[in-house]
Amino acid sequence: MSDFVWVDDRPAERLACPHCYQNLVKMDDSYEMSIRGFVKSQLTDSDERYLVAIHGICINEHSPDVNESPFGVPLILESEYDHIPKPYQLSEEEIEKDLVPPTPAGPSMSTKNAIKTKATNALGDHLYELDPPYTIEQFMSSHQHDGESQAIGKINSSAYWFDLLWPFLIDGFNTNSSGTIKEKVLITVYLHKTAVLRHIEPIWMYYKRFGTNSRTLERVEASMPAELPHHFQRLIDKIEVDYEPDRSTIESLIHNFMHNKICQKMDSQNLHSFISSANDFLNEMKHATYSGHMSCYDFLISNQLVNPTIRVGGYVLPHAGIIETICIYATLQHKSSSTADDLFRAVFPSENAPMWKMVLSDHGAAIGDSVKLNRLIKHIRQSQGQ
Amino acid sequence: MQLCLVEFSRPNNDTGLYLSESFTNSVSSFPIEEIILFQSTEQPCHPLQDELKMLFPDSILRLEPLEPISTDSISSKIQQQPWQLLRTILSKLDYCQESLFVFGRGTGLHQHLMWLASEIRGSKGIYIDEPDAEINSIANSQIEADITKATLGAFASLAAQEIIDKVQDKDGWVNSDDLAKSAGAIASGVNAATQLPLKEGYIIKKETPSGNTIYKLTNKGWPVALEYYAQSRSKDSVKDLLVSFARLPEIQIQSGDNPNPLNLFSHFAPSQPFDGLVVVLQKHTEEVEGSHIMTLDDACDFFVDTSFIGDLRGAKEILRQRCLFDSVKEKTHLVIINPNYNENFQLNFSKNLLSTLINFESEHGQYSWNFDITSPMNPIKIAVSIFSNASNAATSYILKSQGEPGAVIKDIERSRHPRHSHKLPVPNRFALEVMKENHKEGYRNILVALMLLEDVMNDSVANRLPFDDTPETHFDGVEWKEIQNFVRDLKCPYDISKGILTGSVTRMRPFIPKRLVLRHLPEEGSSKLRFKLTNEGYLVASQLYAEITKEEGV
Repeated sequence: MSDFVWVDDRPAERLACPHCYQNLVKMDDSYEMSIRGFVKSQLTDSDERYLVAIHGICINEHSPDVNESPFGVPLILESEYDHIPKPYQLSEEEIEKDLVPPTPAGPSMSTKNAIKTKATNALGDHLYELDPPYTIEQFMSSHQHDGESQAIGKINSSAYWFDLLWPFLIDGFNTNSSGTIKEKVLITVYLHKTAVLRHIEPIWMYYKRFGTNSRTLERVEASMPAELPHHFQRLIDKIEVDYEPDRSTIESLIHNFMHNKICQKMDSQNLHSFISSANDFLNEMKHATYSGHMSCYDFLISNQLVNPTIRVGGYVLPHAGIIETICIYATLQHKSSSTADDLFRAVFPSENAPMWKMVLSDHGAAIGDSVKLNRLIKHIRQSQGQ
Repeated sequence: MQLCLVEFSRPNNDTGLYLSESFTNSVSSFPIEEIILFQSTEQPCHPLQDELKMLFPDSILRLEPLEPISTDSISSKIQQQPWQLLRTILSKLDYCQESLFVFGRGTGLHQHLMWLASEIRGSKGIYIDEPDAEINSIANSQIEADITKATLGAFASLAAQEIIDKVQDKDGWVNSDDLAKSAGAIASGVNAATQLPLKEGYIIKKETPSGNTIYKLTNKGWPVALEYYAQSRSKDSVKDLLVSFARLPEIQIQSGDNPNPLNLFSHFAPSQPFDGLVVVLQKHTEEVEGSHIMTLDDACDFFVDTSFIGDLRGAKEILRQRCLFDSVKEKTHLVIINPNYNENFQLNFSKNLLSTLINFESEHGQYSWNFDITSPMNPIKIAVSIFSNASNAATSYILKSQGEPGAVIKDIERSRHPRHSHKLPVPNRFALEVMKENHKEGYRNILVALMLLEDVMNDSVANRLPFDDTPETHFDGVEWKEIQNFVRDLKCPYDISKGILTGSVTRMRPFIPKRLVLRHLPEEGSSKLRFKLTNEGYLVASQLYAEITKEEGV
């Protein structure tokens, strides 16, 4: 007796060329496609992602203006043609509840997959820099259906990057700003990890990790509209209300420095004592008077530390990680001045047009001047009678 | 004479031997007294050592371990490895002997450093796979007149323009009108401006049947012409153009259970951020006869009947998309099929590379050139070093994480460094310039004394964990007085007191702008300036020290 074979007798959806619509010249033979530099499926987690055309390609001669490969354009389903995904709108109830909507609600799985593919492709090799604070899974099966999304949630850990970021990514992608996809992803991740996960890092160190330069940061304002999408506004608000350097942010930053090997690892006992010392220094900074009635800490934040021209939606980017760096550097100096120097040089490198100088305001850039910073540290220590 | 080579472990597939007969014959024409085998990994290759002993029985084989390049350290230490390697290589050379450097084996970094060491020493080089091929040198040009420099530079740009314009019939010959099109070179002065280059063999000239004089750049003249062309470019560009090298990825191998991952852009990702990209794609194949160099666009048309046409088109698409994502500018890239050591091929490669860069800048404006020397194929490695050096381009090497595919040591934890930390700045033009500079005796002594003092003081703080409490005496530079005291008490067979005991602290000043010495004012204790050598300073000092020992015959 032969096995039962289930036959999908639904009519196949028609294909379209993104530029020729139905006037396409289809090619879907694997060999012929490979000669034109395309593949039908992605077998490895690699640059194949840029060549995948699962439905085949259109080999019409397309205008050079379309910015596509001259050797073919991947076909899409007719339903996707000229279809701009509608912005996902949160319900009032969701807005009031929290930043992240409940899992079962929201856009379809295919929309989420499309968003995830966009973000993954844009980050390329740097996707793995998301971990930590997020976790990275190899892939989410495109064969899973909408109803299975809860199961996926169980499989993936709670910090799975896409689960946490998708509402913000959709918001960002749906705005009409001029920024590239990668620029939108980067600012989204930075604000989210700072506001929600309290993963602290100076912004130029973060952008450097993702292989970008000062010009990307200069364009950060263009990556979001002047009136921020709802989710973004909530992140900015949360940072403004919640973020203040404390023991937990110092702890986050030192872990970050150790993870990225900017300084050597410490065993848990040393680490605990180190964090306590750095936190003590932060408290000393808050009590040491700088001039008149102002403490050194108040003096530092009395002016913008971050260059006011680097803003998103009219808000200057947070100075996360800058005060913490001072505390860690000052504590390290007590342990080993050469190790402290190494850390200082890694955070504030002496190079031609360094990114940190562009990111920081004139007031903030004084922190990257070792002579001034050392004087400040000495002043704080002396104020506490050490 | 010393023969210097980097140890390697792969013998010839056909003969089973490590060194070819032609190589042995070429080397045997030199009086090789000693062979220095630099060991770049912790896995010695005994069969190679045995073969060297057998082929050169009268030479002494000296094994010199080089610190294996590694990601197993903090970022700032990782970045210093290329300078330390160069320092080690130079320190192992006997300055009383001439040296013959062997190129063609070892990582891109080791080969570049061996080449740089040979240039610093003014030594000869030889390709292991093509011992008869001539290797150009970054010659010590005697040219001083601006018009001569501009004229020579014009030869380089004209050669590149010929390729861009696809001119077939000139074969590199140019006349005075052609040269006069370049800034600084004037038609009426060409005869005078070409006298010295003709004498040095940088160019040749001949009369045409119509009585005009035409000129052509020689292989020997190319690095000099390129250097002067690069000098003529303005220096104010803040945008970086990365020139990187990769194997042509194979996209068509789709079948099988374990297809190889198609990684192209991941080769360049650690070099980010950059603003523009030129990739040189390379491939060896028996399917195509001879060697070819052309743009990727041209290759996508030219190799249409080959099995790798899809690879070329796929690579083009990957680069196009990735550059779009990263807001990186591109124009076209370069393809090399079957690179070889032939001098004409080497020159052709350099000209094509320059034409690609000029072509890029004609569309996007001037950029600063950056060379990633990690992955050129062996036949063009030295040509890339020469090009990057002559054009004074920033040079870098991408360190593979120990656990990554292709790395020597596998199956251990992968590097935890962010990708950009794997990009190591590599000494190149600056190192050559400071090493070639003639330091006066007094200044030479200061650098040497500072190096010896640092060595003594660093020894006393070695083997301590970075987070151990450091005693008060940790090394944080030295005061001028300490240098004087050190020299006064130094027990050595040669005198380095001149300029130190007789001079004052102001003698340190010239070293600061040259980035040979760092100075700082301590925040606590003494208010006297403290000095310490930079990496480059240490390198120069070690060479000067070697010179002293050679002069004194110690």
